[in-house]
Amino acid sequence: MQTQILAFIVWGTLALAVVGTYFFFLLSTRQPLEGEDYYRAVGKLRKPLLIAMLIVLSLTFGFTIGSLPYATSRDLPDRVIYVGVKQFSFLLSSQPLVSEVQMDTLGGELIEIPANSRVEFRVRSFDVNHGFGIFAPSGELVAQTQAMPGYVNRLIVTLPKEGTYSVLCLEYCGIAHHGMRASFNVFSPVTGSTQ
Amino acid sequence: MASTSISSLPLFARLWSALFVILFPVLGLLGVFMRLFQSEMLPDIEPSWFYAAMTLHGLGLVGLVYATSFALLITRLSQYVAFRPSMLYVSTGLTGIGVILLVVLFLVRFGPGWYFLYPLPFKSAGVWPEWAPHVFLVALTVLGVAWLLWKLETLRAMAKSFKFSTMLGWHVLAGKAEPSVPPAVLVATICCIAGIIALSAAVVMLVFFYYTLLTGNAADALLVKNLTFFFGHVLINLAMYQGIGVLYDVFPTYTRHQWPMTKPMAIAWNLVLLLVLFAYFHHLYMDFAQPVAVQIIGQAASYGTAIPAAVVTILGTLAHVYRRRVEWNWSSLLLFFGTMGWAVGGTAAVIDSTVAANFRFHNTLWVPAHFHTYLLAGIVLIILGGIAHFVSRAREYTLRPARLPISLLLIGAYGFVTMFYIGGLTSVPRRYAIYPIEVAHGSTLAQVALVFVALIMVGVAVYLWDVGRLLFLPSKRSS
Amino acid sequence: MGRWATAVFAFQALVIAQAANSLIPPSESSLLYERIPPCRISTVQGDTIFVERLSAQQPVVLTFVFARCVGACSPMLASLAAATEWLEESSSPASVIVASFDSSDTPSSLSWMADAYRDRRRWIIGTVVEPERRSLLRTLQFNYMLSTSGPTLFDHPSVVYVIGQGKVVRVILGYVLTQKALKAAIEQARGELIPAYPLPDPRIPFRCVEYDPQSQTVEYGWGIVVLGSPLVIGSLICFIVVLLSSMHSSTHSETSYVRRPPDLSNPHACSGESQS
Repeated sequence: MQTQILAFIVWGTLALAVVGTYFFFLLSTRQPLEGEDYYRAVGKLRKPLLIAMLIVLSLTFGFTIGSLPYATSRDLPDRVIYVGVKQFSFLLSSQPLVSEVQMDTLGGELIEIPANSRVEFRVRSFDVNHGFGIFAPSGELVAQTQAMPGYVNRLIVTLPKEGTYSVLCLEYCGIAHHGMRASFNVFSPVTGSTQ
Repeated sequence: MASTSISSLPLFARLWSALFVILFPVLGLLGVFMRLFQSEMLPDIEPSWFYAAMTLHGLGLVGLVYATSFALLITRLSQYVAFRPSMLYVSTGLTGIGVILLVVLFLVRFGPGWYFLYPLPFKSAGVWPEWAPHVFLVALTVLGVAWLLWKLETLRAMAKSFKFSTMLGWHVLAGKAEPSVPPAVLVATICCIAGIIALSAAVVMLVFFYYTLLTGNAADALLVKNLTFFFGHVLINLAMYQGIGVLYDVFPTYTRHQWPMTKPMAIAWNLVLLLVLFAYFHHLYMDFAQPVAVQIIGQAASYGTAIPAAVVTILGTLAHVYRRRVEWNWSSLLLFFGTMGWAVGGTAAVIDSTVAANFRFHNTLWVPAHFHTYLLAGIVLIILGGIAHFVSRAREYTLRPARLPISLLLIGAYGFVTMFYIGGLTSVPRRYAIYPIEVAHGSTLAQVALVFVALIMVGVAVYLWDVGRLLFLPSKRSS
Repeated sequence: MGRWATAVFAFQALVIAQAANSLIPPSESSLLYERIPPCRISTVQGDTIFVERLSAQQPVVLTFVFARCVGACSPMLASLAAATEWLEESSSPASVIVASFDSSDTPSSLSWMADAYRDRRRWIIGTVVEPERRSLLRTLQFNYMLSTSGPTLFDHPSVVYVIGQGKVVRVILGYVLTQKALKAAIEQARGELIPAYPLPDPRIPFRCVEYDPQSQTVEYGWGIVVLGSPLVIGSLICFIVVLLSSMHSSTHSETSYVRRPPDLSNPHACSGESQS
C-alpha cells in the first residue's frame, strides 16, 4: 500500500481512538461516584499502557528502520543524473555539474529513464536550501531529498510507473518557491513509450 | 532591582495573558490570510506578502505560545519560589523590542520562514532590503538574551528554595516522599535546563549568521541547520511542556484531586530532558549528509518522547476526571481538550518521525497538520484555559461551562487540521503560495479549511467576550 | 619477425589512436555505472576467467598493462600491490585483475608478473580473449598508441577500474594508488555507497563532515564538536546558576512575590487558589 495512505489510516484510527477515549472519560463525569478511588483504578492502566506502547513502538521501529531511503548497502544504480538547483530553477543533466555557470549554459535536457531501472540523482544547490521532490504521473510524492549548499545528496530510486514525472521544490527557498519545477520521462524499455 | 509588591505578579501574568488574547487572534489572522491566498481568493496580492505573513505567523506564534506558557508557569511557580520581578520585566521588555523589530521586517516583506534556514535570510532574490537580515539578527539576539535571562532567573529562583536533586525529583526516584515538591517545579526545572541548552544552541547558531553577515563567507549549511533545529525543535516542545506544568498545577483545582509528584512522573520528566534534545534529528532526515546512525537515533528519540507524554500526562489527565465530580468550565474543559490535541498531534508526529514515512511526508502539509494539532488544538487551548483560570480567580468570577463555543472551537480546529492531513495524504507541499497543477487540489483544501476557520473564530470571539474581556476591566483590589 | 611485429604494432596503434583520436584518459563521470561487456581472461596459470560474471559476484579491481612495458606499468603494479595488501587478510571476496591490453601478449609473456606477485592470492594475471578485448577496451575508454620512445612500446594511461555488480564504480587515474582509495572503492563496489558528500571548500569553517575527493571518503569534522558545544555550555550555565543561588539561599526572601511562605504540606497547595 502507498505509504501515505497507510500512514493516514494509522493516524486516523489512533486519532479516533484518542477522541473516543476522551469523550468516554468526559461523559463518565456525568455519573460521579464519591468515595471510590477511581484515580487509582485508572492509574492501574499505566503499566499495561506502557508495555503496549513499548511493544507497538518497538515493532514499528523494527519494521521501518530497514527501509531507510539512504544510498547504503543496496544494488548499485544503473545511471546517474546530475541535478543542479538554484533560486528558482532545477537543471537535470547527464553531465556532472561543477559550477553555477552551467545552470545557465547547459540547456534543459530531455531526461528519459527506462522504467524499473535504478537511477541515482546527485542533487546540489548553488545558493540556498531547496528540496528535490519527485512526483509520479499520478501526483503522488514518491521520493525526495534536500538540496543543500555545499553538499551533494545521492537519491537512488527505482521508478516502476511510466509517464512524465514532475520535480517540485520541497524546501522553502524564497519568493518563487512554489514556481520551481522540472520534469523527466520514464519509458517502458519494452515498448519504448512513456505512456 | 524593582520594588516588589504583592500586585506585581498578577500584573505580570495579566500582561502576558492580555498580550496573548490580543496577539493570538491577530497572528492567527495572518494564517487565515495564507489560507485565503492559497484558495486563490486574493489574486491581486503578490506572493511575497504570503511568505512574509507566513514568516511572521510562524515566528510570532511560536514565540507567543512559548513565552505565554512560560509566563503562566511562572505565575504558578511564584506560589512556591521567589522571583525578582525586575528580571521578568526586563525579559518581557526585550521580548517586546524583538517583536517590534519582527513586525517592522514584516512590513518590508522579510520572509525567510520561521526557521529562516541558513543562508536564506541573506538571499532575498530582491524582495527584502539589504538591511533586513541585519535587523533580523538583532531581533533574534534580543529575543535570545531575553529568554535566556528569563530561564536563568527561573532556575535561580527555584534553586534558592529547593535542592537541585529535589527539583529534578531524584529523591522521589530514590523512594523518598519528602520533601514534597510540586510537579510544576519539576516541569519548570526540566524546561529551564533544556531551554538554556537550546538557547545556547541559538547563540552558537547566531555566531555563524553573524560570521556570514560580517565577513561574507559561507558557514557550513549542515551545521547551521542542525543548530537551528536543536534550538527550534526544543523551543516549540518546551512551549507544550510549560503548558503541561500549568496543567498539573491548575487542573486539580477543578477535579478536587491532588496531582502529586510520583515516581513515574519523575522518571518521565527526566527522560523527557534526555530525549527532547535528540529528537530534533528528525528535522534532518532528508539531509543525507547527516550520519545514518544519527537518523536512527532521531527516530528512536522521537518515538521515546511519546511514551512519557502518554503514560504520565495524558493518562493522568484522564484518571483525574474518571467518574469524578469535575467542575467543567471554560478553564477545565480547555485544559482537558488541550491534552487531547497533544495526543492526536503527537500521534501524527510519531508517524512523521519514522524515516520511511518522512520520505513521503517531509515538507508536505502533513507537517503543519501535526504541529497545528498540538499547537492550535493543544497548547493554545491549555493557555486559554490557564488564562481563564487565572483571570476568574483574580476577579472572583465564576466561569461558565461554555459547551457550545468549546464545541465550535474543537470542530473548527480539528476540521481545519484535517484539511492539512488530507493535504499530506495527497502529497501537497507545505509553504506554497500558489499550487501548481500537480497539486492543484491544495487550493480546494484551503477553501474547506476556511469554513472551519470561521467556526474557530466564533469560538475565540465568545472566549474573548466571556474571559478575555475581564483582563481589560479596571483592577479590583481586595487587599 | 621483429620488423613484422613492429609493423603490426604500428598498424594496431594507429587504428586505436585514430579511433580514439588521442590519448584522452577514461573519465569516471562518463563511465559511472557502465556495465562491462562479457569477456574472458586467459590466465598465466592456464585458467579462463569470465570477468563480468566474477564482477557480478564480488568487487573486481581491473588494470591494463603490457608485458614489455618499461614505463608506468611496473611502478603502478607495485603501488597497486601495496594498496591492496590488506585484501589478502580480508575475509570478504574481491579480486585484482591485471590484464594485458596488448594483442601480441600471451599468458606466458606475462609470467614474470605472476612470479613477481606470486604471494597475491587474489590476483588474476592474464590476457583478454579476442575479440572481447576490443569491446572491453572500447567500453572502458582505454586508449593507447604506439610510443615514440621505442618501436614496440605503447603510450597508455595508468588507470585502475573498480567494478562491482558488473558495473564500473570508480576509475582511478595515475600510478600512485592509496590503500584508502582502494578500500573505499571496493566498499562502493559492494553497494555500500555514501549517501551524500560535502563539496570541499577550505573557506568554510567547522564543517560537520569533510570529504576527500581522491578517495571519495567522508570523515567527521570539527563541526560535530561545535554542534555538541551547546550541551556543554548550557549544562555548565545551569550548574553555575544552581550552585550560586543555592549558596545564597535564604537571603532574598523580601523580594518574593509570595506574601506567605508556601505551605507545601497543605494538600491544596498545588492547586494554588489565589495570588492576589
